[in-house]
Order: sequence, then C-alpha cells, then structure tokens
Amino acid sequence: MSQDQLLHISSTCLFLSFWIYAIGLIFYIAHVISPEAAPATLGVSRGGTIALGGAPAAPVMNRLRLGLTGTGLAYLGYLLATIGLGTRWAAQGYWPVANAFEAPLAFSWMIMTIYLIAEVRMRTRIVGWAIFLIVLGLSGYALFNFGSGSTAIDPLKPALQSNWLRIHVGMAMLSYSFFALGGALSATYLVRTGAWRKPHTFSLAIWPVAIVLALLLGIYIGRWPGSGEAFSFGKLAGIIGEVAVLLALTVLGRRQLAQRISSQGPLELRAHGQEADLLEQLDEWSYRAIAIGVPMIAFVLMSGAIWAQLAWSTFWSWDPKEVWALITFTFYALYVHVRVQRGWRGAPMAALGVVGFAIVVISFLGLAYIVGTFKIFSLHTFGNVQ
Amino acid sequence: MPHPRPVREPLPVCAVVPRISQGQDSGTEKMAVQGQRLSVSGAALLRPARIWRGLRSMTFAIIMLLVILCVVIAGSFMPQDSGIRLVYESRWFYALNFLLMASIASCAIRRSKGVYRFSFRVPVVHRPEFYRAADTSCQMTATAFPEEATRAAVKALRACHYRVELVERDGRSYILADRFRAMRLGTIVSHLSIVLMVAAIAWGAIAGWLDRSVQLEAGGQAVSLGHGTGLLLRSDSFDFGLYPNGLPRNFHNNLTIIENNGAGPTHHQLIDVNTPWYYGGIFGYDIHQADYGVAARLVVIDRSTAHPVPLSYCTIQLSTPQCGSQFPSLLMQPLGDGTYQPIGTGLSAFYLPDRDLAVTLTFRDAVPQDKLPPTAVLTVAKPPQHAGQTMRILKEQVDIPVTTRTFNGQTEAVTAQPIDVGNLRFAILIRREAFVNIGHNPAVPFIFASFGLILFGLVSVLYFPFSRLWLYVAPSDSATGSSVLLLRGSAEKSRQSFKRRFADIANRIQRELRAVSADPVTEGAHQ
Repeated sequence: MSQDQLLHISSTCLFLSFWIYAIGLIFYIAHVISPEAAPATLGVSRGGTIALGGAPAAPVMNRLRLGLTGTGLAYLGYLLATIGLGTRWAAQGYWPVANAFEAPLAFSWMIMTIYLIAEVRMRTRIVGWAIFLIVLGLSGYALFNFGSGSTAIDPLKPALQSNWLRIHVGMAMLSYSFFALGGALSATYLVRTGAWRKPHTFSLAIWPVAIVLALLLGIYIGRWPGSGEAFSFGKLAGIIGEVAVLLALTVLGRRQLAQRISSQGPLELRAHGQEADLLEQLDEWSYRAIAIGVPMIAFVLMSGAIWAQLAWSTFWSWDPKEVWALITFTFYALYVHVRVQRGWRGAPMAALGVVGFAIVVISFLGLAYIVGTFKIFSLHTFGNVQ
Repeated sequence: MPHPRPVREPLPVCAVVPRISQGQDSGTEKMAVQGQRLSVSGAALLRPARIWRGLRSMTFAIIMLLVILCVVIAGSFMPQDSGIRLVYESRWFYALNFLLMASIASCAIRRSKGVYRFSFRVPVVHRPEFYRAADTSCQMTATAFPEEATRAAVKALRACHYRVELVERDGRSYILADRFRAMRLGTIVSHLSIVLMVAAIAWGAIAGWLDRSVQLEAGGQAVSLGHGTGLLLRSDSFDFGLYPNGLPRNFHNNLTIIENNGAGPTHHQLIDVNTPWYYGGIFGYDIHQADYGVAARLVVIDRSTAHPVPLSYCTIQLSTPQCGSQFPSLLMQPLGDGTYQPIGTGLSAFYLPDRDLAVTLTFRDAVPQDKLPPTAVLTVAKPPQHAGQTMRILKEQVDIPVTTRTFNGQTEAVTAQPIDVGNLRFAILIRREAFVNIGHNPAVPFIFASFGLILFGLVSVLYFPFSRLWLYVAPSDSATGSSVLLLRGSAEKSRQSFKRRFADIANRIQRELRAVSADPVTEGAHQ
C-alpha cells in the first residue's frame, strides 16, 4: 500500500472517529441526566462482610442502555482513532506526535485509552461527558484547524530523530492524560455537587475554563493571532477585551451567586447515601489520577532536560514550553501538598483539578499561540502551526 | 456529682467506622511533626524565633512555591531574552529560589526524624481503647484460644502482603502490620533531592562553562578549546543531509581532539545532533553538534606583480568584520528552499581594503541532497563612497560551475571559472562548516543522581500507598476458649479504597479464624 493510500485511510478513520465521539458524547450526557436507580443502603452482613454501594434495587434500563451505547461508541471511535494513527505511523515511519496536527490527536487517543481503562475500574460512566468534551476539543482542533495536514507529512527535524522522542513525548501524553482524567472527575464532582455555585469555587474555576474556551474559540474562528502573523495593537486590544469580558463575567457571576445565596441559602446540593459515597469516590479517584500523573510529569521534565543536554548542550534554557511544563509540575506538586499535608478535600480540590487541567491545555496547545502573539522565541513550537 | 461516663455503643462486627476528620490523615495517628501554623498576630510575629520558625514551616514553602509560580507564569509572557534577563536570571529570582530551597531543606530535615519514627519506631502494644478510636476499625470473635487466633490472624495478614510484628504479653497478643513503610521515606528523599538538583545546577553554572557555536571548517584548521584544557579540536569531515524540500535531515561530524596543544595523542569520534562526544567521560568535556553551513573563502590574486600573490581581505557579515591573510570565511546557510544565502541580515560580502572592492557570493540553484550547490553567482562591486551613493557593480557573473578538487587531502569545492576584474583574479573555495557547542559541567553526575532520587521519592510515595493495621487478640471466655479480636487500620491516602481493602483483610482473617475454630465462629455473638 502506498504512502498516499495509507494517509488517506488515516485521515478518513480520524475524521470518522471524531464524529462517532460526537455522537457518543450525546449518549453519555443522556446517561448522566437520565433518572438514577433507587439508592441502595450500605449493607453489613452478620458475617462481618461489608457491601459497599450495593446493587440497585430496580435497574433503570434506559439509563443502562444509554450508557452501554455511549461506551460502545467510545470503543468504536477509539478503534478508528487507533487505526488512523497507526496507518499514519506506518506511512511516515515515526510516531505521529511531532507536529500540531498529530500531537492533539495522539493526546486525545491517549486520554481515551486511560479513560476506557478507568471506566472499567471505576464501574461508572458519569465522567464520560467531560472526557468526551476534552477529546472532541483536542481532536477537533487538529482535524478542522489543519485539514490539509491530515494527508501531509512533515519531515522529522534532526533534533527529533531520537529515541527520546518516544520516551519524552510518550510519557508527556500519558501524564497529561491522567491529569485530563483528574480534571474530568473534578468537573463531574463540581457539577454533581453544585459546588461550582459557591462564589469562591466559581471564581477559582471559571477563569481557567473561560481562558481555555476563549483560546479554543479563538483558534477555531481564527481571531487569535497565530505564530505566523504579525503582532498588532488591534490584536492586543482584542486580547485585553477578552480578558476584560472574562473579568466582568467573573465579578457579575460571583455577585449574582452571592445574592442568590443570601436569599435562598447555600446552593450546593446535600448528598446522602449512595450519592455521597459516589461523590467521595469521585474526589478520591480524581486525586489518585493526578497522583499517578505527578511522577510522570517529573519524568517528562527530567527526560526533556537530558534530551536538551544531548541535542542543545544545556539542560534548561527557559524555553516557554519548558517553563510551562515546570508550571504544570509545580501546580500539581502544590495540589498534592494541600491535599496530603493540609487535608483539603471536596470542592476546593475539584476546583484545583479543573484549574490544573486548564494549565495542561495551555501548556500543550495554547502555548503556540501565546508564543506567536507575544513574539516569543521557542524551540518547541510545532512546525506547522498556522 | 460527676457526670456518668458515656457508654460507648458496641462496634458492629467488623463494621468499618468512618470518621469525618477534615484535614487529618488517620485519627489519633496523626504525624507528630507537621507544618506549624503562622496564626499569631501582633508583635509576637516579629520575634526572631517566630520568624525563623515561620521560615522553616511548610506554610512558608507553599507560599514561596506560589509566589515563584506566579513569577514564572508572568515571565513566560515576556519575550524570551527579556524574560530571562529581567526574571529568570535576575538576582531577586535567584533569591526567591534560594529561600524556597532553604525552606524545603530545613523543612525536610526537620521532618525527617518524625517520618523515620513514624515509619520504623511504632509502638505495637496499646490499650484496647486505642483499637476502637480509629477511622477504620472492627471487632471479631472466634471460638479459638488466643494463641490459635493470633496464628490465624498473622497468617491472614501475611497472605495480604503485610509485614507483621507480634508481641505477646499477659496472655494477650498485640500485632502491628504494615505495607510499604520504607516508602514513607520517599517524601524526604524527593524533597532533599530537589535541593540537591538546584544546588548542583547552581554549582555547574558557576564552575562550568559553555562555548556556543564554535566554528569548525571541515578539513580545516584545529581550534583550541581554551579554558586551560590544552586541547585542540578539528573537524575531519562534515556531512549534512537535506530532505528533498531543502530542510536539514541530519549532520555527521567526524571530530578529532589533539591533546597537549597539538603535541599529544589524538582521539576521534563521530557525532551527530543527538549523539554528543563526552570526551573524558561524564566529568570531562562535552562537544555537541549545533549548527551547519558552508564556509566560502575568497582567493584573489593580483596579477600585476611579478609573482602573483593572494591578497588579504575582510568578511563583512556579522557584527565585527574579520580581516587577515588567513582567509577568513564568509558563512552561507541553506534557506530551506534549496538555495544558500550568506548569513547576516545586512551586507554579507568580502571586502578588499587595499582596492576598496566588495565581492559577494550567492547560490540560486536548488541543492541536491548531500551535495554542494552546483553553480554560483559572483559579483565584484565598488562600495558606496558617501551617503546617498549606491554600490556600483563592476562585474557580475552568474552560473559559474562549482567543481570539487582535492586540497590537502580534503575534497573541497571551488568556482571553476575565476573571473577577472582589471588585474585581479577572483575565485572562491567552498567548504562545509560545522558549528559545535563545547562545554564542561562538573555537576552533571549530581544532576543525574538528583533526577533519579526525585523520581524514586515521588514514585515510592505516590505509587506505593502506605497503610498500617493493629490487631489485639485477647481471651474473651477462658472457659470456652474463645477470643476477641480488635482490628484497627489507617492509611494516609486513598481512604475509600483502603476501606474496601480493610474489609477484605477482615474477611480474610475471619476465614482463617473459622479454619482454626473448634466450633465455627459465631459471628456477632459477643456484641
């Protein structure tokens, strides 16, 4: 099979997987909002065994079917994405992680890998909606922003012709995927508890979410200045305007929430029984996903430093990508410390989980545009960022 | 009249008793040493002892980490050279990092004793109340003598991969069981290793050196490494491959080092972009392939003299013109579209001061892979004499064939047809040019060691969750030979999953107890 044929198969599979994920998202959302089964009580048998959670008394089949369909679509989309990336790998002879088209697709593939394993282990699908939003955002960015890139191959630069590409980038994808899972679990926690309606949590979580959304929106509609375009005061004014709007929304939203709380009392939900247990599990899973990612991001920093020493003769050069990887590690180090040493739990940790993943997105995707906007030199920007 | 002591409700048989304790790791088993709060107001805050204690606290370290995080984020939005100059390599940023490292080091050292004792010096014997006052606990009974029940429990705990310590006293058994207790030390290892890493980097920056973009002409003269090394470095051959679109594919540089300023033994090594030469091992000197290009050298001969001799000239290219009779070279680099162009944003040319002439060289032909350009364009011009005047071209010759010839055992290219302007004859020699970075960093082994230790610490703490169990076995009825067992557990992280694991362990113990019981365990009979 020729290289062109492989690339066309790859492109077709990747686009198909995107649309299947999009349909899957609808099923996952429907699964979450459909009625819950009757809660089961914590069972303690006379033999001393403990039944944690317990089986639902009367399973709601609609909810189950919706979830099963969503999962089926997830596996189908994942299979197509795997074929798409595999054929691209076969066509070009190296891992498809080397440019701004391939990297988000590989990242979204890795997120799905981690999520599908986690879904089996967690035995719940309530996180799927958030994961699918992330995956669709990433793969959609690649597929629709670099449409022509789907059948073109960039030659590999000399510095990238190294086993460190697989080690460093592979581990980066893996760590970021665990952070994505942690972020998705945190977002689910905030939504299910209604804790996002607390003014403090709202203020903490809305900023990174809004910045990432603005970034993606800017990329999609082409308003955000790309690396190849000249910097202008008009664009700077646009960015300042966006920040001002975000600030205004934050202040207004916070004030609105404070008013509602003063008139209606606390807005967050009071969970009991199985729901409370589930929320505690969400909190713990979120922490565990992030805790798995922390040594990995440390390894990414170190392997990157070693690779930089080999290729560029210095461990560290304050390149924006290096700086943001350090910011990511530092943030998650803080996350672990405030949880383990300060004992934070629940909504504050969930808000931090969301903020952390926003930092990951900025580090992974947004940086190319920050670098382009502020005309910052970077050795790490992808070759075909437009 | 004193209030009567509240009667404690009996524990359910092996029921997990969750205790909502926000911010505490495990009930009464809280670590003895924790970060101390800075919650005293007023003048007491300014006492030196309190300031010193505050500086050593974890709160201070977290605040410093937050401050540095904000500073680093702000610096990332600045142009890189400004960010490095104004933020990352500024004295105040160094001071912030120094404070953070001092805080981490003192905090880790201060905690190390407590962590060690928490991990390795744990009392096994406790009063029965201790086993009930826990996040997770349960009570079991068995129709077996305490010795048999103890053996069964130990067997069950070992089967669950727990390390077991047993103390028997007054007919009662006290068991301490734990998993991954040594991994608890990982937190100290990782924190101290971060300090080691930063210290090593600082030492390397002070004691080491790095010379960037040292120019080596392939087959040309050896250059001195300097810094008192007495080493000369030479490029014997340099090949660079290009992709069909002209972008670089890879470089291969065949290097030679000559010791004792050229009088000593020689050593050879082939390097490429990701394969530097660590001459002298990890404590020696590292030579990295950094960049590539083409060096063009002008040969200009005055034919009016009795014996034509090469004239010396200057290259006007980068910031400082280079002049001399040793044929300074004009540097060319592929543009990526298959053509070469002299390096330098302004005028890039050879200049003959005696004749006030400028000579430029360009290539406009596509460059086949691994080959030098096939043709050249040579221009001889009179530079402007005063402001407003333009350069006057005396002669321009396009499509001059470039051929190769062997010179001093090395193949080099040369413009095959020299051009004549008056009495002067111009030809150009072209050689491949390698740029290498040469450095020496004595701290490299320590940096690598700190990397390994940081990873070891993080993995041991975060991937091997520490948990601990205490078990108390006592006779409940000496007549029937039955025993009562109190099991208490604690885990620092993942309390939800530990609850499930605790329940599994309790079940396992009960199964073992049933196996040794004369009469099957009457579950819940003694509540």
